[in-house]
Order: sequence, then C-alpha cells, then structure tokens
Amino acid sequence: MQRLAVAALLLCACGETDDRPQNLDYVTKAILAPSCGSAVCHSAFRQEDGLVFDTVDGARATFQADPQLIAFDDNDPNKTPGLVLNLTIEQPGAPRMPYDAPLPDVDIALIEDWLRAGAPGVCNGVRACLGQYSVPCDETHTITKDGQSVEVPYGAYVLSEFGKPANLCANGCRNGDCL
Amino acid sequence: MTRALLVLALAVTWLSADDAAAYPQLQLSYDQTCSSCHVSPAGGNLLNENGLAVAESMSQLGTAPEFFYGKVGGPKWLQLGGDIRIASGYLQTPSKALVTIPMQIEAYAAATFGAFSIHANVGPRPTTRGNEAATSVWAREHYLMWKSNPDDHLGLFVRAGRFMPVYGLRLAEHPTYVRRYGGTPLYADTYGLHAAVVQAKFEAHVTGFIQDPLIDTVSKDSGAYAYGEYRLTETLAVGAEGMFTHSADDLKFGGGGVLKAYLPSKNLLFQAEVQFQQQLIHTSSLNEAGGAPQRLIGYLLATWQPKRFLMIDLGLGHYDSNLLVKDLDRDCVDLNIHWFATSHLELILTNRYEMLAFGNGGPSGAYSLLQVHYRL
Repeated sequence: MQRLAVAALLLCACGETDDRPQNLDYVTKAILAPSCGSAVCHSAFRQEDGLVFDTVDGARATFQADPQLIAFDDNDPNKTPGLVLNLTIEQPGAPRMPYDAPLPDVDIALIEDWLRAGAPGVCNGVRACLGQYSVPCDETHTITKDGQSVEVPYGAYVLSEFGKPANLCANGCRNGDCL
Repeated sequence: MTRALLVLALAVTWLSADDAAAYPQLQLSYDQTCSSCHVSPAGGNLLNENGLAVAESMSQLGTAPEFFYGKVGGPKWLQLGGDIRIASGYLQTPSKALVTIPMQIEAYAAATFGAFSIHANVGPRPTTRGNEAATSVWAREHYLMWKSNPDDHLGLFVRAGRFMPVYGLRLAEHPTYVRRYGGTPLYADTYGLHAAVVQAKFEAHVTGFIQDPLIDTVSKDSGAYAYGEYRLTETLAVGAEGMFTHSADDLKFGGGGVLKAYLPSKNLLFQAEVQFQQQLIHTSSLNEAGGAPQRLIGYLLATWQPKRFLMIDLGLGHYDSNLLVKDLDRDCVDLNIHWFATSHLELILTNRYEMLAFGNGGPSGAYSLLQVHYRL
C-alpha cells in the first residue's frame, strides 16, 4: 500500500516541476538544438546569421562571439539579453524565433533563468570560476570598468568581462579552481 | 513591416527544403512495400518500372511517366530522374509572413551492373554561411547497393554510402513530428551501412551510421537504427523500431511502434507511429547535473483518395520534448491535399495548425503553403 502511495505521488509529481539543469549543455541539447538548430536554420550545416545552436561547442562559440545575445547591460542588469528578445517578440527586420514553430513558454523561462544565473558554461569555465554556481543572482561582485571599480550582480553578464580570454580555465573548473 | 516580411521571406528561403522521400500513403493501398515502386528498399528518389506505371495510372491527365517523357534515351544500365519542388504561402508562427521557398532541385542517377548498382543525387544545397563557395552543390545521397534478386523488388538489399538511415514511417513531409523531432530530420543523411530484407509478408531494416566526417552535417550522431514491419494481412501491418545514437554532447536511445491499416471499401488508409526517446546529456565539470529529457513523439495520419488523382491527408501530431516537465507538449493538425495532375506534375496544398500545451504553453502557430512538385 505504501509503495502504491509513493508510486501515485511520483505520478502526480511527474510533469509538475521544472528542475532542469541551468547550464549551456542542457539548454543547447534539450532546447536550442531541436528547436533552433534544425537543418536550414542555426545548424553547423547552415549557420544562418552566423549562429550555431545544434552543438554545445557551436552554441558556446556563438555566444562568445556575440555576447549581446546573453549579456545584461553594464548599466542596467535587468535589460533583456538578445536571445530572450529574439524568442519572445518580433523586432524590426526580424521575426520572432523560432520562425517555423513557436517555443514553449516553459523553455523560454528556463533560458531566462539560465541567463540570470550568468549563463553557466558559455565561457568555458570563466563564469564557473567567478562563482555563479553557488552565488545567488542578487549578490554582487566588483569589476573594473574604465579604470573604476563597479559593483555588478553575479547573475548578470557584463560585456566588459568578455575582454578576458575565454579559455581562462581550459579544462573547466570546480569550486572556483581551474581543473 | 514590409522590410520585416522581406527579411523573413529570405530567411525562410529553405524553411521547407525537402528531400525526395516516398509516399508511404500509397503503401497497402497500391502495393505492400516501398521497393515495389522505388529503386531503393527504403523508398524515395528514383521510381522503378512499376512505380512509373503507378505514377501514370494515378494522375488525372496521364502523360508518359518516364524521365523527360521518355524522350531522352540512354543505355539500359543507366536510370535518370530528378525532382523540383517550390512552395509559396503564408506563415504565422507567430510572426506573420508571405514566403516563397525553393525546396528541392535534385537530379538522380543509378547505374546497374547485375546485382550491384551505384546511386547518386546531385543538386544545390543550402549553403553554409561564410563558406558559400564550397557548399553550394552536394551529392546528398550516394551509395553502392547490392541486391540478391536483381530482377525482383523483393529479397536482400545491402547499401553502403551516404543516405538517410531507415526509421519509422519515412513520410515525405519532413515537418511531421516523427521526422523533425524523431530520427530522420531534414538532411540527416549520413554515411552508413544499411541491410534490408524485404518480402511481401514482412521487411526488416538495420542501419549503422556515423557522423559525416567530410562536411558540417545536420546530424552529429553516430549509431544504429532498426525497423521491422510485419503485414498481418494485405491491408494491415504492424511495425517496431529501435535506435541508439551518441554524439560529443549526448547519447540517445529509444524505440517505437507503427500501425498501418487500409480500408479498401472507403479507400482510407490509417498510419500511426509512436516514438519514445531517452536523451542523456553528458556530464562535465561545467554540467555536473547532465540532464535526461524523455521525449514522446507521435503521429496519426489518415489518407483518403476520393479520386485516383486526389489524395487528402489529415494528420495529428503530438510531441512532448520532456515528459518530466509540464507544458512542454505540442500538438498539430496537418491537412495536405495532393493533386496528381500528370505523371510528372503534382500540386500540394499543405496546412498546419499547431498549439503548445493546448494553448496554455505559448503562442499557437500555423502555415498554409502551396507546393508545386515536378518529377523529371
């Protein structure tokens, strides 16, 4: 009876929560690749607009090359990154993406959460070493911008950080240390 | 707004780019196997003698069904063909646009020498951005085939080369969920080895394949597909399938089932396919959690031929990109009307209405496209 109750609880729980990983690997392979990385769109085969979303390496290179897609504004941490804009609204000269089949709101929400967490995985370990895995999004850290120290949220990308070499931790890192 | 539409029209130039797959809608109603009408045991591309006869008999105006109406001669060992498809229509997914899409321009050739034959398709392809010069033309399929019975469409077939791995219903319409989200999305052709046994009562296909080592491909997977179909009667068939793939980022395994039933009195064919896919995203120092989406993909297709030259498809699709998370499911209704005007000319009106979580998961989408298909 107890087993039946547990099974029933599990069945009820199925599909109710979204505890999917918030990192580049998961977002790419579970969401971007099947929806955006199809044959004639943002696959390595086509590379429409120079964007590749069908592999983790391709997506990482895409985001590193165009940080506006995932970055929050230096002066406005709440400014929406380009990726979220592209997925949610029609902009001048550009349709809402994906253009052949809409993306579920739940997936867009996960992408937003991932970006607010600092888009873990994009900078090949740089962000992980900055600590965004363990630091809440509302905490801040200090960066140097134009020769001055500026407090910015950990959960937000800042464009000026992209001057750092992306392969700071070539083999990734854990708990702030390069592996 | 006009500029946006223009940009979108250009952007979707290859939205519905196609490959020449077979019409499994004609299976059971016309014959039992793909190889009854096609040179390949998997269907698609070149038609054999019986396939040409079917193309003529089911068209409204007839005309000689052979390559260029039989006006182009050639040696008996060489068979030529080709397909041209272009579509135009309206898209609202949810951005609104008028689109014109050159889908396919491909020429086919097969050279047969006894039990062996060499097959190749050549045509323009969607270019890779930044590498247009080297990626404007390709041979999407090219393979060597051995056939145990050279003069029969039944028997043992072995293919080695580049082609689409064999899995599921193998519908021509690549936006169908079982193709797009299943194992055979558009341009997923790659190098592999395919063995098939095709008999009137049953057929079995096993394909082992690798990621294309020569070009940036759509499919980054290596793996194996298996598909088997048993025809309980001349009008009822059941199938089963299994797959395993791995890539640098993940591995996937899954299986499914197929049911085909033809009602001769109503000239009505039902086909259904259900696929389950377990994806395991690799763990790494940057992705300790990995991730394991469980996908469910289904398609039910009813095909009615009120006239021999008119085929009406009503399809219901279901796709859940992760069964473990709520509101990730999508459903669609497809209505495709095919008019086989001549042995070579087909007009297809394709329509789709798509909903996310029955309207609760995001915006709905729709399109309506008129496609012209000319078989050389």
